[in-house]
Amino acid sequence: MAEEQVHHNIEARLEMDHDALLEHLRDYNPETGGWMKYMHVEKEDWWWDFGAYVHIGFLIFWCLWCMFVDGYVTRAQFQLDHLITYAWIASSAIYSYAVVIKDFAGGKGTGG
Amino acid sequence: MLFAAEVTTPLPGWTGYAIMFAQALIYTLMVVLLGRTKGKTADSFIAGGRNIGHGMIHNSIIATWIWAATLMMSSWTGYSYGVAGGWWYGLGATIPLPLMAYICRRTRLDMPEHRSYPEYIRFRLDRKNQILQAIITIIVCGWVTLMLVTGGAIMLVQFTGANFYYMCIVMMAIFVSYVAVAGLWASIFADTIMSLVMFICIGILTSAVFWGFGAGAGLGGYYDGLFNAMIAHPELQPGEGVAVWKSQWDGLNWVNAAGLGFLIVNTVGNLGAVLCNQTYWSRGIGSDNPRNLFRSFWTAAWCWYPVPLSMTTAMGLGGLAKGMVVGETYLSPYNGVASTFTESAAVAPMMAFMTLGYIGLAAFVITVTGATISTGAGEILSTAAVVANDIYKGWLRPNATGKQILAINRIMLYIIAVALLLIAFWWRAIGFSFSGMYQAMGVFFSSAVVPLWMAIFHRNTNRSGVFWGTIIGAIIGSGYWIFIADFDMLWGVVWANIIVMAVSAIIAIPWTLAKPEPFNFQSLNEAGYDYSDTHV
Repeated sequence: MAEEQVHHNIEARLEMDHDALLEHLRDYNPETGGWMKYMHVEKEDWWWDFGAYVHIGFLIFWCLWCMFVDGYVTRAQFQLDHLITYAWIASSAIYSYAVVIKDFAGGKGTGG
Repeated sequence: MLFAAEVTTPLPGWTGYAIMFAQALIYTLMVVLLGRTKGKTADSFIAGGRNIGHGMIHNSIIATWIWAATLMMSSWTGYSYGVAGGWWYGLGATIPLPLMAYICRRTRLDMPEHRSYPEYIRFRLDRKNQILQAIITIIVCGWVTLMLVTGGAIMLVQFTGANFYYMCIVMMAIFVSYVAVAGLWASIFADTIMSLVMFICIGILTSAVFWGFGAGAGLGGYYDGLFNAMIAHPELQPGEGVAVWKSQWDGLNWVNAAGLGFLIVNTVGNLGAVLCNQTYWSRGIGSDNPRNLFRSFWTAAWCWYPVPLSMTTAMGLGGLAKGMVVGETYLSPYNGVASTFTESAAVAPMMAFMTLGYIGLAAFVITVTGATISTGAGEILSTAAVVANDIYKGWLRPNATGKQILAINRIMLYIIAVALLLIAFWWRAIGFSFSGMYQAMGVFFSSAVVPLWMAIFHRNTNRSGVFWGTIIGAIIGSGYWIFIADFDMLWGVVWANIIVMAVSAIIAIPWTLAKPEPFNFQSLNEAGYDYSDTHV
């Protein structure tokens, strides 16, 4: 491909709308039922997905570390394990209350 | 703490009934007052109006996924497998929820008007697969309800000495009471309230252990007890074999072999329990949009995980560290009231009582009854919805009107409740234990998981491959467990779970590769049963 043509292609891609570029990259064809669109991180949902992947990554890391690096837990690890557990249940409770209060206070999303 | 050999309960039997009736009254009144305009048509009764937001869906998923097992079986894993138990219980049971986020988002986008997943399968695959999935989800929902009723009744018998069979009847009556009023919306609304109440109760119990009240030993305080069990080799479950005792003698080991086996059973069993369960699909169907339902399943997953983990850490490990022996009677450190540790699955309520006395008892009873009612009501409602939508409307009477479907839905709620009660009584009579029900569930219905995933995400999926993969997988897996492993609940059930899923995949995947059947998912956009009193 001629250098001029390459430049032209790059400029064309840079000028594309960001959303259109995302759509282009997804390469979704509804007739074929391609699943990538649904598995792909949505622009507005990125932080939910990101949080989820961090969450899963942490769990996998924690479990593998405990299993393969150090089979038997020490007293310090046991205490850390409990600390993580109790902090996690507390933050889960806070989040669950917050989203309900937001729904109910706003009068939306309660099913009518 | 050891007291006497006589079976003793800390509360009189009538208190169990009072707690249940009080909760039933509260939820029914709230639903009648706030949701009396909901569920007036067959579609809104089954689909909840399709306009419920993130907050309620998030909490509803959590409440529906908190079973009596989440509180009692998870603690049992801590008591039986030590520190690894809670993590493996939580991990295995959390995995299905993110998968449901992708599945429900996909199906809502493909077919916005579907009311049940067998209905989606009807238009995506064919009639035979729809009927098969309808039967599977009816069995799954029924099985889950049986576990809930049994687990809840065990707990109430433990604390109050109430009659097991009467408690089952009361619970079934409550399940039917408020969902009969307003259908899916009522179920999701009550779930939300119960989720918030359960978080408070779980917070009370875990905080008590964290701060070292009663039998609670403070942050990491159970370490010495678990270490002693590794040295002294106590026989905490006298009726069980050496293999069960050995797993309790390895409580500080992350690679506790029996615990890892349980992880496999738990993962496979829970995949079937969620992916083939209309109750979880209905949370996606009732959500206001695909984006929110996706978010709700994800957030519910990471807010649900710490529930069994914290209960195991606080209660199950406590029972093991304190060396509590099944069959013995113990005194509360606060009021000297005695309670008998009747079976290993009841380690959580025992520890709750030993940690906080009557307050711990109340917190645990409210949590388990809340979990039982929220999930049980959802499961029975889903069973009735599938019968009305997929068996009656979809197969037997395609011309049925909305009014007829609504009537069938309500009638089926009562019929299913009675049928499940009879099965619960029978299983109790033959000694099929609560932990046995939990561990065996994957053997019978997780063969549908791989074929179902293929149908939703792969356009070339072969219809017959899905159908026969599901059936043959279940037959071979359950056949192995029943005839070769002789109902073994240790490694026999582990292999049976692996076989069930592997066989279904080995049949469905090569069949699809050899004989692909291309499908246009866009054709689903306008598909679904017609609920405007005309023909399908």
